[in-house]
Amino acid sequence: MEVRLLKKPSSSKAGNELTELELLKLVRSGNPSGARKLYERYVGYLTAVCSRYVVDRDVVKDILQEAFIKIFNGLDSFEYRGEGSIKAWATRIVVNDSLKSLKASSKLVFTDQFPDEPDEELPSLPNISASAIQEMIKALPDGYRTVFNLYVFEKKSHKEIASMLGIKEDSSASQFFRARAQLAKNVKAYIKEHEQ
Amino acid sequence: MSSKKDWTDQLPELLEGFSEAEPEGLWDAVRSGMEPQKKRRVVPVWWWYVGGAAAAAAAVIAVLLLRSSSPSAPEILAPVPGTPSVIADMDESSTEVVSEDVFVPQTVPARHKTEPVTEESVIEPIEQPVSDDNVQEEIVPEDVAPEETVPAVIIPQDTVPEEEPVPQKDEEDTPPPVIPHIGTEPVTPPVTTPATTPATTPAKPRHIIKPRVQVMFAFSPSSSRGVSTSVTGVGIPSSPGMATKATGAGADAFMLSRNKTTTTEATHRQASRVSFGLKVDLDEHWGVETGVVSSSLESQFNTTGGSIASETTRTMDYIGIPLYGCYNVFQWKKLGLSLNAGPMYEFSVGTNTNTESFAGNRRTDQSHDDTTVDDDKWSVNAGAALQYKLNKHGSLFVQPGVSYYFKDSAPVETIYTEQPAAFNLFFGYKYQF
Repeated sequence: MEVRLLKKPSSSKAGNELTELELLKLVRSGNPSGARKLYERYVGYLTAVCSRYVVDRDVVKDILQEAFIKIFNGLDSFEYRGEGSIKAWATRIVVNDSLKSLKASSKLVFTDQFPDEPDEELPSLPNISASAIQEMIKALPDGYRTVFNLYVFEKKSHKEIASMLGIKEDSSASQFFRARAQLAKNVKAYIKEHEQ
Repeated sequence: MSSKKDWTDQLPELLEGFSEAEPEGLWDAVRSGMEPQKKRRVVPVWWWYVGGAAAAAAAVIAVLLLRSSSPSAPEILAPVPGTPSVIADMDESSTEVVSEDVFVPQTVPARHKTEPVTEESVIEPIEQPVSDDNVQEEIVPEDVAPEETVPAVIIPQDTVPEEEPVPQKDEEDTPPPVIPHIGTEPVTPPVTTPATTPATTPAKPRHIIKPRVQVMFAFSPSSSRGVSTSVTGVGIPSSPGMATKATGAGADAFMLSRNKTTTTEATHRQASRVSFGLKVDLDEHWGVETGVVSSSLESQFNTTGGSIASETTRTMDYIGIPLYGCYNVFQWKKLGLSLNAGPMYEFSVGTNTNTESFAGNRRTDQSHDDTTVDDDKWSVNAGAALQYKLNKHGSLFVQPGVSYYFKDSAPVETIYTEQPAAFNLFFGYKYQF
């Protein structure tokens, strides 16, 4: 039996924040404040997502501009599937546009030659702020960062990542492990620095 | 298998609500990017193709009509005894007097009405085969014979008055009617030529072909069964037809869990078609046909891998411009049979992809994509149309036919690529002008 994941539309959340369904209806009704509200709801999150892939701030702006235009144009035909579905859909658009931009700029270089260093490991994620970890991810090389983001945040398999980026599956795996090791090293250094 | 938690698994949760300051001026850029799209009326590229093809088809038909209609006599003519008559042969650019009679429209009382002699009232002998449908009777005196003809009367066109009185039988000194010059011979001053043979015997009917134009509307249903292929591999991207532009960068296809061996079954169905055509008969048997054909192709991709599955349905719309040669085999009472064959050029005008992902019985994701795939096709087609005439103008027809699509570097798999040779069946209605 097929179980649909549609959630019942709930009334407004605590406070005055509209639900996604209410936002969607507002935008579709042609209310000029609807698009602005939707934009304000997600622009910060989507900027963070895009910045994890693309470092250049001007390029981030271009990508987000195109992405929001796609989002607003696509809302009429968007099939609402419960709270969070607009956010997930908008995130996919931003990620896809970011990948396109990276490929187009030819900055995406994947090397299989890595420095001969011992892999750093972390038993668990220490108490570290989101902004700190975000900055560390942004500091990774383009190839590492892209594979790491797709694997960790978009839940793609290495097979899928390889297909999306036009690389070998093994390359995707090695890029990820190198990224993970470098990030662990940086996290350790950050913790050490802030303990002192 | 161990389910060891990695520290990176905590990152999505940590950054779930994380926001960064938006780039400066982003909202204004988004707004300005939206405005031109709303204001500007964008004409889809395929409309230009259709418009161009329609204009070209109209030009071809117009030329054919002009060429076919200009030499024929549109009116039924009757002789007026006692007056010299002239026949102009446009093709040979010569003018010949064939009897003493002037041909004037039969509905006009010839003896008492002034009637200008125009180009349309000049008769040209026709030697083409005739059929019952596209002929008009013309009266020609029986006693016209080549040896009875005399040199033409050639008069400059600008000297011809608007209306020339038709001479009365009892007006003995009335000059013969002035005939406008049609050919290309040098112009000479008016010369009156007496006829050598009186032509007062009854005339017999003669046939002249008129061009026929037919407008057709036809529908061909899609097949209920399609061509199926199956591919097994690791991960979804290896699935046939999925690694294409049609799937919107393929993002939705990657929603299944990692490193699972998956099997994808692709089913492509025969296109349903709607066509609107114009056919021009050049003579009794031969004709040309063109028009616009709209085809809709459906492909279904079902991927399974353990407890996960995805279903993708893709519909691609094409517009085709055919150019067929036609041959009318026979017309017997109300039944007729015609054959047609020729090339057709098709280009895609829209792609619609719907993907649903399942984990067990639970639907986990659904996406929709309207990205248009840039794809065009050449094919050759042939068909035999059996038609039943309902009345003077309308006919119903059924047309079984075959198509063959040439191999190309198509970016997507469709029934055209998987089964290039196909059978189709059209049902339609023709209106003949």
